[in-house]
Amino acid sequence: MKTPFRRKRHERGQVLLLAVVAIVILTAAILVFFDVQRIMRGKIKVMSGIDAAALTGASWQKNSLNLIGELNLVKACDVLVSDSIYGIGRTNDNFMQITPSSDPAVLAASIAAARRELAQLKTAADMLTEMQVRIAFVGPLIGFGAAQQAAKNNGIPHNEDCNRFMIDLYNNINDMDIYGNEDLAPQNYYGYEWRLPYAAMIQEIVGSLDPNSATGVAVGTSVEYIGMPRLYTDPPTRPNFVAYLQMETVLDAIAANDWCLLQALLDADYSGKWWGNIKINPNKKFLGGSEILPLHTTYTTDQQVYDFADQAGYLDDAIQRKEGRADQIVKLGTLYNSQDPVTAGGSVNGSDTDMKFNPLPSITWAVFDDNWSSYDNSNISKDDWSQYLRSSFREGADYYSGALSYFSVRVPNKTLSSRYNLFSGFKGIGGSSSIGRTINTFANSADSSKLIWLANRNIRFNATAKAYGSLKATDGKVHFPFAARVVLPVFDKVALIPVALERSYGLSMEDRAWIIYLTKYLPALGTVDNIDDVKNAMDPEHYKLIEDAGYISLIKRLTDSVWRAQGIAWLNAEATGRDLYDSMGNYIGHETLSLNRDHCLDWSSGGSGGYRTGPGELH
Amino acid sequence: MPVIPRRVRRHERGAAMVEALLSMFVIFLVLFGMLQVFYFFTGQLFTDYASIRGARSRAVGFRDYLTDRELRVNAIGASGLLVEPQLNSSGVSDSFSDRYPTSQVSTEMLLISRYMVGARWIEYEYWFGRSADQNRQVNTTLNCGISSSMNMVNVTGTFNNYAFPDTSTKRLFFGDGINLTGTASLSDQAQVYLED
Repeated sequence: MKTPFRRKRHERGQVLLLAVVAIVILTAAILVFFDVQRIMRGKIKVMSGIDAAALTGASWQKNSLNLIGELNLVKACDVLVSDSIYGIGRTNDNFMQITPSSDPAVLAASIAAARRELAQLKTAADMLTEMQVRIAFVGPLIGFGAAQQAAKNNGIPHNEDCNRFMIDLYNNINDMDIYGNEDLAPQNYYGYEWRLPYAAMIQEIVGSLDPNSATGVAVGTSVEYIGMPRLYTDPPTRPNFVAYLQMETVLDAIAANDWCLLQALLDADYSGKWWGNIKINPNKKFLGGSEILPLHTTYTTDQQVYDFADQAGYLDDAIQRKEGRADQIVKLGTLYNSQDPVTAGGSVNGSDTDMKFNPLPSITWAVFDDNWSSYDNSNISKDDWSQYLRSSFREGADYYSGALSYFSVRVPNKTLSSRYNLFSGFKGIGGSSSIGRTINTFANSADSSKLIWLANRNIRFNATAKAYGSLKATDGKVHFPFAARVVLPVFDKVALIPVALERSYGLSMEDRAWIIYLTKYLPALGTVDNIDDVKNAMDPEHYKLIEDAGYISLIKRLTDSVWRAQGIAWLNAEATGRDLYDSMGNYIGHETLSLNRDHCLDWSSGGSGGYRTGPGELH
Repeated sequence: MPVIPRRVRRHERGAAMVEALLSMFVIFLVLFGMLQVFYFFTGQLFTDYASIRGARSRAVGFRDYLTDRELRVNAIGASGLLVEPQLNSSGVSDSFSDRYPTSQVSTEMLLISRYMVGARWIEYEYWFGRSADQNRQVNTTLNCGISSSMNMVNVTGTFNNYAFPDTSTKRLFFGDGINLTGTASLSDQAQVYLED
């Protein structure tokens, strides 16, 4: 029996067709939803992982600095002399003391005995210095390794570029021309033969020296390593092309045809070897510690360091931070006056009241290097930051830290659509109609790796954390933790800070293509007269990496006069204008009110514009 | 006489059309309804994420206006079309030519970075309810709420009246749209180095 709704055979399929269209559209919507969900989840994972890594790194920097500081305290007090466990085991009463005697032989024996005790103390102090150097290498590296675990625990997978960077660094450390060069890096640094242990720790962190199986590093940091090329042009060019070519924002602007940002480059002369003779000035700064998450501490043998810290009250502050400690130890400056009992000529120094050798000039101290400084001395504008931050800096917290824990990473957006290459599947199917050409262009763009912006849609995030501490002086005020110059165990907190507030220097290990571009491509460009000749002057693998990243095509675009003319014409084109009429209403001409170049810095003047200023990164 | 398969009898022609229209109406109603739901879900994901990024910004001590800026930038994926600047007007290249195919993504990314530093104003449709197309009405707005409790910072991002812009299904099912709210709380890092 037929029902009124039953269709005849030839009518079947009409609703099915509609349903299929609907299902296709819904499937696409579901795919987009899943992709967005994956991206959002990935971004949150990366953010959490990087934050955890930065805090972990800073925590180990704090621990390392405090350890080094504790050892400075041990040197500064009588622990090495009288402590039953660590000390030489003498009493303070007559240690390094001579017994004046009219008998030259007795006097000489007494002086010799006191000098031996002084040498014993110095040896013990030097062993602590060696230990401090060891900590400066090992502590940050432990922090770096722990940061990798923190990142991995938050779901960030190992990063090939970071591992490659570490393997390259390992090879550099084993290179006798770079890290093995005594002129660049003293091989025995205060007793510590650092180079091989340094390389071994890096190998342990990476896990394997084979780039294809190295999985130890998930998140990277910035590293200023020995031999890192710094580029300059000799003779200088106008404009300073090599400086522009080292800025990612300039390449971004070329890719986006951002004429506003490129104004200074559009009018330049691009004839001949316009980029100039690019030369390398390698970094020769030996840090005396790990270059990864460096502490920026150095060493000095000088009583003035002790005197300054003591007189300002910093030593007392550090000693008193642990309850009861001040009752158990005595500062060396209290035990020994500043005079020696024997003059340079070998006779008894009558003005020395305690007849004991002063050990302080013989002791080497771990001190902060010049990287540690107040914001005022670091060109960090507190006026600017007072506009950015919700309140002013705490007393003693407005300093640039030499020990910054900066981490960054790029994780590919592994969306379902990109995993199954859905966009490139449309390649060539568009035909020759205008819509077909649009489809082809889009499919080609999505598939092509020539334009970095399309190819590298990575999740990128970075974070900076640092250890905070302060010192209290006899004046009752709060001072920077480095105010004493000598490192003291006064770091008690770790916190994330705005990335833009304190910049770390060096190369960021997470972007291998950019590193190769800076360290291989640009130096090679300096040696050739034609851009295309660079290919022969570089490792083919490196060249392909740069080419795929799009940097070469962007530089070539800059040299295209037609492209530049397009930009200049746009900048000089009218943005706003008005027609002029006489009193009779007849058109008499046109007045240009503003050009496009006048609007490069437009900001809304309405109620929605809000405050204007801000740093480049808001996290 | 051979039967022509597609031909229907005269008196059945209208019925088939009505049936087809009815079924199309139902299918498209369900389709657009579900698309709207996906739109909301996607918007909710962005709102949640933007709130977390806003909280992250606040956690390191940024002022309200910069926290708000960070939240907006991270909600761009659910913020509709770019309103200001129009991509063919001042401040941005008008040369999306075949010679150098430049993606809109790279242009917008560059604009966003300039917006962050306060060099150039940008605005998307759902930020302040301004449409990129004069013929289309947009009444969605994005708001950022900031508060502190104990050692935490709390940021709430809300899209008010969120929905497909100016569509009939939106009005049919959701009126002016629905509110999408994302909240995030993070440890207040800045209290270590900023005055309370």
